Parts: sequence; C-alpha cells; structure tokens
Amino acid sequence: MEEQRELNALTLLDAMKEKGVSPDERYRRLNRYLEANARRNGIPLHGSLELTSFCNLDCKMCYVHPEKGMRAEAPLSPETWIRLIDEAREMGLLRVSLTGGECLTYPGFDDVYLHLYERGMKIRILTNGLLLDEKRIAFFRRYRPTSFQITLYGGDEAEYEAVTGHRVFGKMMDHLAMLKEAELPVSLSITPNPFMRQDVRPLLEAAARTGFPWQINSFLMPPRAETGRSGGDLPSDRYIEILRTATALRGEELTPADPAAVPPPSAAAAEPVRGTSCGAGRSSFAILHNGIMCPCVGLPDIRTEPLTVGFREAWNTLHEAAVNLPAPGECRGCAYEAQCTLCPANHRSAAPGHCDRRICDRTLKMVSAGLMRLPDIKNPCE
Amino acid sequence: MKLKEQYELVSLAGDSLLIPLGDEGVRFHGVVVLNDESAFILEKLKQEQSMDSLVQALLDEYEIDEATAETAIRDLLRQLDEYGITETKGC
Repeated sequence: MEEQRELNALTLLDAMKEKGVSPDERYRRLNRYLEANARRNGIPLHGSLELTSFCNLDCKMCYVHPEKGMRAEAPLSPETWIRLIDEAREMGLLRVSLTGGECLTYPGFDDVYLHLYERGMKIRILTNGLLLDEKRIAFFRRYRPTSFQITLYGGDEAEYEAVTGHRVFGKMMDHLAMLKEAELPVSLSITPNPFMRQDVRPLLEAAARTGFPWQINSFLMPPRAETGRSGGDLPSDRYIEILRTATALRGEELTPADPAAVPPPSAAAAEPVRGTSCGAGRSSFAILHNGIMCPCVGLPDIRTEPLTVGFREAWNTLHEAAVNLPAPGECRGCAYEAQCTLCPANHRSAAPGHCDRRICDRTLKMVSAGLMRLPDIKNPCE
Repeated sequence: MKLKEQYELVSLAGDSLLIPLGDEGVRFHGVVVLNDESAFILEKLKQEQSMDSLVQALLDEYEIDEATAETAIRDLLRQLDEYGITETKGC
C-alpha cells in the first residue's frame, strides 16, 4: 500500500509519534489541525447554538436577554434544533457550544443535549451555573459534556445583585463545590463590566478558591437592539487594572516594557483585506434563538436563514459572506498584529475594512504594562 | 465481525475519522484517524463480515496480493479489537 506523504491527519499523527509527543498533546494538536483544515475548506466543524434568549438572571450588560418589559421571542422547538443539528452534521459538525440566555432554562434542553451526546459531538455548555444543582449534576455525570464554561459575576451577594439583579453568590459557590466534588470539567470566566465592584480582588479570589481554572474575558459584547439595552465596552485602563490584579493574585510579576521600544500601531490607511481572520463563517457558525444563522454571536448583522433554505444553503451563503467580509487593512503588517485581536466582532464599530482604534490603544497599553509581549521588545531588566 | 453501532465513519476535508458516539465517546475519549484502506475496510464492517469477505473486498478494490491484504486486515482488526471498536457475533 502506498505511503501517504502529503500533510493530512494521518501523516501528522505519524510525525508526532516519531517525535515522542504525548497522547494528550497529540490529541490537542490533531484537533488544531482539524480546525485549520476545516477553515481552509469551509467546513462547519463548530456550531454555537443559542437555545434561548431567556435567563434566570438579569445581567445589566447582557447582549441577548431582553430587559424587563421587552418582548422575548418564543424559542425554537427541540425538533427544529435537532433537524438543524443533523443537517449540520452532514456537512461536518463535530463540536457544539450550547449557550443562551441561560441554555439550561430551555425547556427542551435534555432532548437537544442527549441528541448531541448520542451523535458523538464534543459539547461545551456555557452557563451561569445556577441550575447546576444536585439533580442536574447527576445528569451530567451520567451524560458527561466535554466542558462547562461558567461565568462568575460577583465576589459576594451584593456584587451579584448589582450585576445580575439576584443575590445568588452563596448558591453559586455551593454549586461550584458540588461540581468540583463530581469531577466535572469546569472552567470559570469573568466578564469585566461597568456594574461590578471597583475592587475586583474579592471576585477573583472567589474564582481562585473554587479550584477551577479561571480567565478574564477580553471583550464585552454590545447588546442587541431587541434587548432594549445600550452600552459599550469598558475603557482600556479598566481592563488593564483588572488584569494587573489577576496577575498579582496568580503570584506572577509584571515587567513593563521599555517605553522607547514600544512602537506606535500602524497608522497607514491601508486597503481593506477580505475575510474573517478567525473561524467565524469559515469553520464555525452561530444559530441564534430565533433560528437566524450568523458567523458568530458577535456578528449578528451577517445572517442567513437555515429554517427557510436549509442548513446547507444557509452555510454556503454565510461562508461566502465571511470570506469576503472587509477586514481591517491597517492590521496587516502592524507591529502588534500577532498579539492584537483581529476578531471582526471586536472591530464592528469601525468603518468596514478598518480597525477600531480603541483596540489599538488597548493593545499598546497592554504591551506597555507588560501584560502582552511583542516578540522583539526587550525586557529592560534582561 | 462488525463495527460497533456506537461508531460513525466521518469524512472531513480528505481525512477519514472514526467518531465514537454516546457513552462510547466518554469511554474512548478521542477519534481514530484512518488511512484510505482502513476507511474502506471499516465501511465494509458496518455489515457483518468474515475474514474471507474482507480480504476479497480489499483485493477487488486495490491492486495488492492476497498475503498483503490478509496481513493488513489482521493488523487493523487487532487494533480495532484492542480499542474495543468491533464486536463478534455471539459474544
């Protein structure tokens, strides 16, 4: 039988085995390869399913859940989700993120989840964790997801109430302890927002006490019009302050960059380039609670309707739009290109084909503070 | 012998993968990457097969001799058995 020489999953695995790469690391790299290959070939490998806009919390910065008094749309039926999932699977879907609103409030959650489970999908559940009680944890111990991503909104009852409208900090800590005991795969995320306490240390310490890995989200999604909310992201300095506190809590030291070695971001009014720089619309999609499909939840203006035209046609249209999306031309060749976010959702408020200068400002400040390192910037202490 | 029903063959941009389904996904925790010949044999193993029927199928599809086909199939079946991916009638 002829030996295969071109790069494919098999030759990659063989090469890694020859180099003595561990099985876990081989699996991680194989997944990265599958993702890159899916992007190159326009295969919808990953889908984010926004099961419902309803939530059991009322976060003041939420981009999905309607404010009190705003009309919430009825969610799709489980049968409709299952049909979309099966159509997507035919085209390569293997990884699914379940989100909302709060996805565990969706009445047909078990039907959709178990269908995904039985079809061998890698399932990530994005949740506020409030419904993860003993009974739910027993369910997920039996039908184990790949991971939970749980957002923590406060370091005590008062902060939870200020951000989410509910005093549920104690309940959350109980649930996280039960999840730890159940050895379920959880990671915590913290979303910086204008309603959290100025001193973030108690919140970060609460996250650290759980024993789960935790990280700080780098971007606050602007609320959709139908939520009745408005509001923008936090200023760069606030993010830097939060990240500095997190770094100190982790016992790490920051070394600010030498100011003379920090270059200005590219100012050239370059021609726009085309195409999303991430997997959005190339290897991933999001289906919103009303059945509209977008490249990701952060790009709701690029939309197709799989319920009307079928998943295949909707994906093909979306993919075409994603690879032709004007992307910031200034970023190409900028000194910060490798470190800065090229996420098209982050640059949405700028003119099409240009970057949002607030992102440039934030990246420059992050590098200056030592929170990011450019490959050719010397640490003055070295 | 036969491929367990809890596995699905998937073709993804030129790569052939064997995906474990349901509880098998938790037990197996991974995917199997297949070369063309293995994918061909596993496609056959969706139905009950004997050693002879697999060898014949491989001979019909590829220009190889019988001894090579038999060795390739035995190696593959041994690995599949180690992973618990196939089942034999009566077991």
